[in-house]
Amino acid sequence: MAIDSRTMESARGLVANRTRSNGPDLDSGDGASLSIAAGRHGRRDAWCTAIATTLAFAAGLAIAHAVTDGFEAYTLESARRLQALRAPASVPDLALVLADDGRTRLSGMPGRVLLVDFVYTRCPTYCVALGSVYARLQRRLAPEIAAGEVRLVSVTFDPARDGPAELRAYRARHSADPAGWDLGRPARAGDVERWLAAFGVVVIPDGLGGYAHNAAVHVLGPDRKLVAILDTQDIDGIAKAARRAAGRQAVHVAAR
Amino acid sequence: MLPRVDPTRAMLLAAGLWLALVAPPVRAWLESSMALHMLAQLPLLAAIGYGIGRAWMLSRADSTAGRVLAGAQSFNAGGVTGIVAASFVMVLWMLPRLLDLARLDGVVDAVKFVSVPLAGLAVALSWPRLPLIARAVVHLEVIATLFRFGWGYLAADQRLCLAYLADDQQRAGELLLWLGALYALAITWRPMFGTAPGFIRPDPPRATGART
Repeated sequence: MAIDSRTMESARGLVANRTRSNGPDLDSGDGASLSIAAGRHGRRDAWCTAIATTLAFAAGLAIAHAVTDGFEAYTLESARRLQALRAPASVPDLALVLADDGRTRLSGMPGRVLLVDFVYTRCPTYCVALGSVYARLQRRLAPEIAAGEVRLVSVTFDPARDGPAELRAYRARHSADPAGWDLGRPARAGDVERWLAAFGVVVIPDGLGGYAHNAAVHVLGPDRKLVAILDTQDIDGIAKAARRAAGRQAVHVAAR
Repeated sequence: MLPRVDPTRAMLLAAGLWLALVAPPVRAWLESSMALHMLAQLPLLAAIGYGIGRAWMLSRADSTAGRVLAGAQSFNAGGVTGIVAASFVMVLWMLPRLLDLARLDGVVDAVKFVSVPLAGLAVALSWPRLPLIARAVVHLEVIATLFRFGWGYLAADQRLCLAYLADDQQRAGELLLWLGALYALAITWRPMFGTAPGFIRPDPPRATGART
């Protein structure tokens, strides 16, 4: 394996095993000894290498910086949350078939601010928590809901099993009052993927017949931009984010 | 070290293995679990590049391949450039965010299928030129990285990868720790206990094969 370089080096009249040998002398690749022993070519190689290594290091750092959002988001979940905070993106105007009445789109939903979560009603773990969280939010944000400022929206990603009846039953399990809490399913089967992709939600089979997903509450502002993604247990944070999204935009609109 | 094989056969073997790994069913299978993704697919892809690199180094100095190699190696004195580049590639692909993206996004996966073999290739071209101290540093860093990631995945109290389940993450973390321990054992065996029990051979003897 070392033959090519060695023959070349000896052709140049250099000390073969002190320069480019790939063989067993372990110190042979040392850049310092290389530049001393190999003379002109070695020095050129050392310079080329210094430049190439610097470039490789800079490129590596730049790529690492880019794919971790400046060394802040090492997971997909933190990446989407960070994006919501730093540069809220518009969510496509997706269609939803409501459990209560007919079809609507995100832009047409009542409520300046929407709190969106994704569920499947057979879910034994997370969505039960999500359901009770929404019931609590319903009570906490009752004034905002009454004023048309905030609306809770639960979207099922299992529309084959979750019909209007299942969705209404799910809400009824958690809350006696349906006011301000809409449930719906993506209009067509293919729409589920579009809904999930728009919010950055990943659903995978949990191996027990159910699903695992990155459960969270997604705050959509009046312009239907995704402005915050919060943990489901963070009720205070969710309520605050909802009020802020409604309030800040109101000021903004008034200023215009 | 790899058994001595004909360079052409080694290249064909590597290409065949790469194609097999790219094949949708195999790809889906190896990416279906985090442990398989990290501990089978990534090492195999790197090994493919490593094999190609070793075969490349057997090429005649006056052949095109040999001249290209010599040209590339003039930017790789002491093997530094290659090791630096390969380290970035391998560490980045072990991050949960990129594991997820590789699984969920075909374009990202394509980048992985090219960059990881290139990292293996870089190691093959660089390792023999690397000074002993630098080799030790690289070994240490590999062990530390395996432990760091292993511990991180094992100790995380929630799922770090959206595309993989929590128990899969635990298993991946555990296996990374085992791999790190085995790696450390394999590396320290010779200096500590003398001749290896067969599975690590000293550096390949000079002038093996390559008389072309």
